[in-house]
Amino acid sequence: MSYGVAQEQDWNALGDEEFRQIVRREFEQSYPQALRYVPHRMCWHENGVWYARMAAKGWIAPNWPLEYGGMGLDPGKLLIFIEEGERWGIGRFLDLGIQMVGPLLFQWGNEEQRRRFLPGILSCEHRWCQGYSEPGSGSDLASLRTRAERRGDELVITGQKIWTTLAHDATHMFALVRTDPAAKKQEGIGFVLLEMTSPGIRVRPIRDFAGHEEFCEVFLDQVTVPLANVVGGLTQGWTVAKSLLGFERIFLGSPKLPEYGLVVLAEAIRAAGLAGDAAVTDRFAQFRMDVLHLSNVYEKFAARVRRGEPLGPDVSLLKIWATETFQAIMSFAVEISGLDGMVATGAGALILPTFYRSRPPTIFGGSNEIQRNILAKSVLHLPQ
Amino acid sequence: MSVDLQTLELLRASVSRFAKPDPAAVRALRASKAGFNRESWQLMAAQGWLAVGSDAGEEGALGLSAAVAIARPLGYGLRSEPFSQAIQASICLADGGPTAYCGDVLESIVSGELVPAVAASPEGTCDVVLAKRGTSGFVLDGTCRCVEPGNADAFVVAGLSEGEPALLWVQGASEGLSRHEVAAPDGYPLADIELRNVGVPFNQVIATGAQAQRRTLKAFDGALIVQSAELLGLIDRVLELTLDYLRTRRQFDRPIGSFQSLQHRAVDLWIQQQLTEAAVTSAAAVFDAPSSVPEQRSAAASAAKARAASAAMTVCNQAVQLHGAIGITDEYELALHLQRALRICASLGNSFLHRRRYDRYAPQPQVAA
Repeated sequence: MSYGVAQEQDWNALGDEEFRQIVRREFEQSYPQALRYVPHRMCWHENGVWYARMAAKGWIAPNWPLEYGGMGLDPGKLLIFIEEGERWGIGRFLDLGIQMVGPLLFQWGNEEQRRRFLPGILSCEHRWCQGYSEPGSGSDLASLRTRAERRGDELVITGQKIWTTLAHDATHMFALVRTDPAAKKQEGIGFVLLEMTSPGIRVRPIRDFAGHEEFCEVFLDQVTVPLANVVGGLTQGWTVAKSLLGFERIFLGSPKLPEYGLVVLAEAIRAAGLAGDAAVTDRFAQFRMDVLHLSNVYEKFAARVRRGEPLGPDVSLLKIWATETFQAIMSFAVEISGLDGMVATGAGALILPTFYRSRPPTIFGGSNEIQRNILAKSVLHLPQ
Repeated sequence: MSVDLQTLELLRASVSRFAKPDPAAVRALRASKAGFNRESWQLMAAQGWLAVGSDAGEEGALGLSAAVAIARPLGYGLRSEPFSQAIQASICLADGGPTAYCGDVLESIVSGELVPAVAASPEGTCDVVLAKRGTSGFVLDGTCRCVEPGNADAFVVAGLSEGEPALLWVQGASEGLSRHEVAAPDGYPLADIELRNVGVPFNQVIATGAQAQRRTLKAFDGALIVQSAELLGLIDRVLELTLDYLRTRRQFDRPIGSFQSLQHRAVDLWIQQQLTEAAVTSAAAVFDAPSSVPEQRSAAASAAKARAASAAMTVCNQAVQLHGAIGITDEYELALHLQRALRICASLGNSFLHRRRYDRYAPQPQVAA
């Protein structure tokens, strides 16, 4: 079986700069100006037209190998592709099918699963959300309690997921469920694929403090799923989910968001008439250096990715510094903007939404406290 | 790894062997007024380590990246030899090709015979020296503040001659030159140099006009990066001491490093070390790139110094806190690092000054258009 659209050429044979220019030209020409740097996660009805274009062009899965319909980019080229998207302020759609489901199916899935699920992901007809967190299981994810009972060749799933990003925009969900309550907590978990239209699934969007409905609660009441939808062994889910922590972790620490924060802060300084103010200049210079040195560290990790070396636990540093710097920049922008910083009109139209946007990244993707635990243990070798 | 990276790694390793921390020796120097050991300076010269400043910025040279590879282990080992000052003087003398006399001077710096100090800062940290042009040379009048090392054999002095900058080589034994020595927190000798009718013959003029300005600026930026590398080495050592302490010191029947609040603080110090390392490495690369313009060099150098200085102070202060009372004693090695950090941070400008300088030279943030 062949997947997706054939590639125009062998991208990895191109020089880095040539490839970068091709990607840049495409993004600059086709991505709608109005959708650049949108400070919230967009739904399919907002940016789906452009992503459908990418799918038709064969550019929807830059990280997938050619045989599965991807662009087959090596790590260095993939880095360029993603950097160019960030540079142009391209907003992600609900792309977890491409980021997570595909790569997991290459590694853990069987041929039948790949045939069933990959084409829908490549065409964007299927959009996947991630059912991991539960009301009682956040940082301690392995304590999750959503129950999956085996009945013949089916699983019957009952429980609740929460903080599920864009579940209301998803057609499918991949989820971790408790398959063996008697086993040690990491060893009794399964990784299952569900359709959101299955009877027993109810989605309730949660409004966030920015006024958006980006994450949701997902209730599962006796949802029936064929055993054929389990990826890996029935109690292997934790291992399956963990295997995805590859070099993608570098992107959680990309300098692009704090760089955008600096642009917003520069605008806030101008709007507040504070250009040249000594106290503001001092803080602004500090933030610019914080971001400069973030990009210097990012470049060090990127060089490792380009050389094909695995990233170690030290990459957590990028996430901590990028997200906390972004927050500090936006907090300062609000602070110096006075009344403009608390209304969503005038200069505040840019400041307030970007401030809100700066808050979640220290929590998701493994909270910064968890990242510090990892560094203390695995890099600094402090006693546990 | 490219050949260059390998060379730099070898260089770093041999300096590390030379510069193992020896707190007793550092304390003895601190009490001595000498500031540094002339014999070890000769050893460093014999290794060729003092030559890396004179080719910095030239194509094919290891340049400032080599100076960084040397300075980091020097900082780690609490060495006080005037390495950054020698690099600064060498760049002043060598950049753009030295005159015959300056070539000889450069030789004697590289061979370790002559210890130089630089009293030429583009940021006005030393006072103005007036240089009056006479028939056989310039006559200097003025004061240079906190020159280090104060016991240098000769000085690179920036003077103003009818509003035009001039860079001059002044012998320490010149008539009319007097030194008022003060000790830095680490005992290192600083001196206010007073110049009263000091004659400098024309052949000791290093450069004038725009050339003088350019050399002063470039040497200053180079020295900032070398200082930052020294501070990075100091941070390496203080962090190592602190992590060892957290792993071994026991209270409440467990190692204190098992407490999460202390772990997270240790991680934040390590992050500062990582940022400093990246800042120093990339500033040296910017300095060495033939395509870099002066503004880029100054922005990168000031950013590196601002980062290294604030990181060094944060790491030292937190290290004291994490050690508890032992951290306050003079007997423990930490004290020597704190005192050293105080000097190097302030010398050529601390983080406050360099944030302002960075702001002047760095581009404004913008999105792709």
